[in-house]
Amino acid sequence: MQQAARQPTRKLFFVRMWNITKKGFSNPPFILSVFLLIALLYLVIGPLFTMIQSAFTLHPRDALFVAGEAGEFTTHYFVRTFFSRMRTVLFFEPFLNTLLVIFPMSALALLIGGVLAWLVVRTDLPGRRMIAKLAIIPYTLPSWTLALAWITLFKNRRIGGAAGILEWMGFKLPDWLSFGPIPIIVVMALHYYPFSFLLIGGALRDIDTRLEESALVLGADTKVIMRRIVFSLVTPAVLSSWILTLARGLGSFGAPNILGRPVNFQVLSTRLYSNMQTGSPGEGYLLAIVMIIMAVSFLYLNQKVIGTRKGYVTITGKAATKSIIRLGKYKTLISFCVYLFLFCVVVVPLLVLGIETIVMTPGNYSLSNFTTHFWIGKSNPSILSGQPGVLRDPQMWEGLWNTLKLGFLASLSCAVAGLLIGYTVVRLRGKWLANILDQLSFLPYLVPSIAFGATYLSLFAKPRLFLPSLYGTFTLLVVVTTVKNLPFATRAGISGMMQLGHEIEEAGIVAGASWSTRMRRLIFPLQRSGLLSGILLPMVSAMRELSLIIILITPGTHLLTTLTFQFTDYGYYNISNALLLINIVLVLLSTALVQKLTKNDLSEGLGG
Amino acid sequence: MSRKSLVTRVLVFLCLVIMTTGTAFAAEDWDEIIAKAKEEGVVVTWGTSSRLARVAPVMEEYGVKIQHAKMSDMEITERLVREKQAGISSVDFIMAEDILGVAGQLLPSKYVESFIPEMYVDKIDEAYRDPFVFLVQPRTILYNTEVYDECPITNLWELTTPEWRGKVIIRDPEITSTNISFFAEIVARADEMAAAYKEYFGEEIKLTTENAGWEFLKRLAQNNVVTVSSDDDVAEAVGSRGQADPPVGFATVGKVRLNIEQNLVLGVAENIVPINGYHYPAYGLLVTDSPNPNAAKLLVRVLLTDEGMQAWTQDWGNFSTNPENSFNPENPLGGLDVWSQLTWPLTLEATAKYSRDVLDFWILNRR
Repeated sequence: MQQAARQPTRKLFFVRMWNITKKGFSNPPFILSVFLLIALLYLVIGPLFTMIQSAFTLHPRDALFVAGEAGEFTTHYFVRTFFSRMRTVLFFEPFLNTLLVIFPMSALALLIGGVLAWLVVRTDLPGRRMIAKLAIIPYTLPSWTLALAWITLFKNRRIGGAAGILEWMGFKLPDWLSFGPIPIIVVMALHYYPFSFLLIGGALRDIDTRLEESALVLGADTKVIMRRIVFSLVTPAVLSSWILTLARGLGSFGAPNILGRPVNFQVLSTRLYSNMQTGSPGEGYLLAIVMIIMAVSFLYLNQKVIGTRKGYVTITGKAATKSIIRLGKYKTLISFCVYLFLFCVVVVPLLVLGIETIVMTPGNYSLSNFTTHFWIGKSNPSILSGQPGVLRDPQMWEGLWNTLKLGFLASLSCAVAGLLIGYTVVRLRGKWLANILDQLSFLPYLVPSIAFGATYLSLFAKPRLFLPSLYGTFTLLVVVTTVKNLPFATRAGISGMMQLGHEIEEAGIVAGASWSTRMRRLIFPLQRSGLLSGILLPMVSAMRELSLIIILITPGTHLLTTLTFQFTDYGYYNISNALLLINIVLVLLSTALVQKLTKNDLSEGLGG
Repeated sequence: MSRKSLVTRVLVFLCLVIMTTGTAFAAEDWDEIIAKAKEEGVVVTWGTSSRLARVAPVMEEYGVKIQHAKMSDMEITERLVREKQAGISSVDFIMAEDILGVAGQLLPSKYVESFIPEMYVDKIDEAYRDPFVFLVQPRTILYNTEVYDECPITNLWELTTPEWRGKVIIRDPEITSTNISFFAEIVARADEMAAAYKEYFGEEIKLTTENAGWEFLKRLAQNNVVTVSSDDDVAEAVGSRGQADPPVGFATVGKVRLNIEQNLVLGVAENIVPINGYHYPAYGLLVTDSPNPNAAKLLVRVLLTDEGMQAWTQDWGNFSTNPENSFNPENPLGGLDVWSQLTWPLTLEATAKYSRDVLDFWILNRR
């Protein structure tokens, strides 16, 4: 009797499972989500996994010195990096140097950004709108622009080579000013301060004025209001921008490479890179793991501080009267300082870079030494081993074309991926599948770019299952850029889909449209404008990207940024600066295009 | 079948066998190789020097373009290994200097192979045949002739003295495997280093390390040596005019040409105890399973001709391993025969034995 009662229950269970599966597979978002889940697992978790695996596998070059067969599991790299006599050089020194650089750097960036933000949002400084627009420019330029300009100005003879502009003019420059931590801190702070500027400025602007008005009614004067209301409300934004700047600075590669390597000042990112390039990938991957752990910790801290997962800025306009501080008699002085600062940070570097491109013999900045050779000169074997002028160099045009191609293709794939993931997450809202997709697509944000590039090297180094190895292909660059920018694309996709009500799709279903027809003729067209910023951001970021792809490029897949880097390495600053200037023109043009198309100015609303 | 017809068949069969094996052992058909190379149209090369691209005019006579990418020696090894593991091949020919990488990784894994056109095999010295070396370059001490009439250094140990603290410039060993190999030679030839010490300081060396070779490296590393990323940087640092207290540097002899190009004042050291420096090989190796193998073979042949080597030999400090090729008569001190006496050759034994430890030791002692 009991047996008869148990059996139907078990059978029922299987029948129910079968029904659920059948139902699931007839639901397009479900199928799509499964497919997306597999893809994301491979592209986001996969690289981390293969990288950890590679860090514990014996590399053929080391099989000559270390016991074991190439390809076997080994703790050699782990021991070598963290415990052997090389541990200081391989890990502790770069680690401490990284901390030495990013903490002061972010404090400085915070100070500059915060002061500027306050001046622009809360005072009657003239020309606030213009200042807000200009203040952001350093962040839109490639991160090592200021580093290259610094070197051109401040280089001294210590590392050999010709003198920089100031030394040529007769100034004696101490080593600590030309290279090493101090220039790196200054240069990176000047690049990252717009981040703090936007975050703090936005917070300042969005403070509910009713709080201030009540304080006024209660008799508090401006100073008290500032101190006890404004500052305390802005504190989360301040802390958050500090932490995010720390996380960004951690992964920065361009500036420390240009200003640190000549004097052997290594940070984690430069050490990672040189490990990868000199046949020590095991040690390299371990550093990447450390960087990822650090970045995740920073961002976890950030979450605690602001209580939300979103790590990027959304500025919404909100008109309200605020208590404006009148600068009074200091107005002219402060304006002058601000404009001088912006001039030094935006105009001077570009001028300096430009001068280096027209100098024939390095180190001699007299007018007689000026030449246009490095722009339009033909190849001359006695000049730079035959390197032709930048505009005549087919390599440059190829790099330019590759950069545009990468931007376009990455944007396209980001758009599609963002839309599909956004659709799936919103339609399946609340289910665990949607949550996992949401988290997975955000994960790439946490990984420092250079480490992310390293993980992709390990993932696509060999053919796996049915997937070919993508090493050395342009496709790999597109894939890695797409995945790295996925967080932005999916945020845009999700928020876009959330604004779209169910009714439109339901109308489509009632009218008899299939799922693909609904996607094609309803969802895609309606999402177009909303997705634009999510799409265009990858395009602009691809044009200034270096650390993400520097480990992945091969001679055939050069971009403008990597070519600039290569010539900096050779010491051909005239060519590298010229390339950088072309790159900057490209970035500025595309940023302007993006702003026009999306009618969305990052600094909007900040100037009053 | 009849006996006669059987014999005939066997004889015919034997003739066929002899003919086919005969063609297998026959000379390389260069007409065919050249024709195929022309069809391929391009040879993709990687090298440590950008000069390989200058061989283009000679190759273009055969209708083949050169597509060349310059990168550091260890990068060449690393990238080739990555490509081979990924199952792709984009490069046909590499000009490599990474002794250990070539002998320890690339050759055993059969990623590359040596190829010498048969008409040249006998002309090349045995030492340069396997792996095939097509170019030899010496690296030695350079000094500033504006300030010094003759080389201020007469003994390598002088580089470790307080007088030269911070005034010695070399190409960064971390990215220059040949410098590491030289250090390995120094360790291998510790006796010569000990003798040189005695000659300069007048007393026996007191060791804080295993031998005089390691001792030298330790003191050199601790003497604030400036490391740069290219020989050009060394040349500029040493040879720029208008310096009151110029450094000395260790760079390829060929950089003396910058005296003309960039108005520098470089001089080459003549007699240093125990040795002026080292000469290192540039391997010219074919990549296996490459897209343009015939073009690559043609390139090797061209590199063994005088015309092909002009890209190097018209300048100083570059010597072809084909003794019939010319070298620039203005070469400081002479040709390969002179330089191979003045400088140490880099041996695989020393490199294989010591290079890993030498690099670690160098990095540690620089702190």
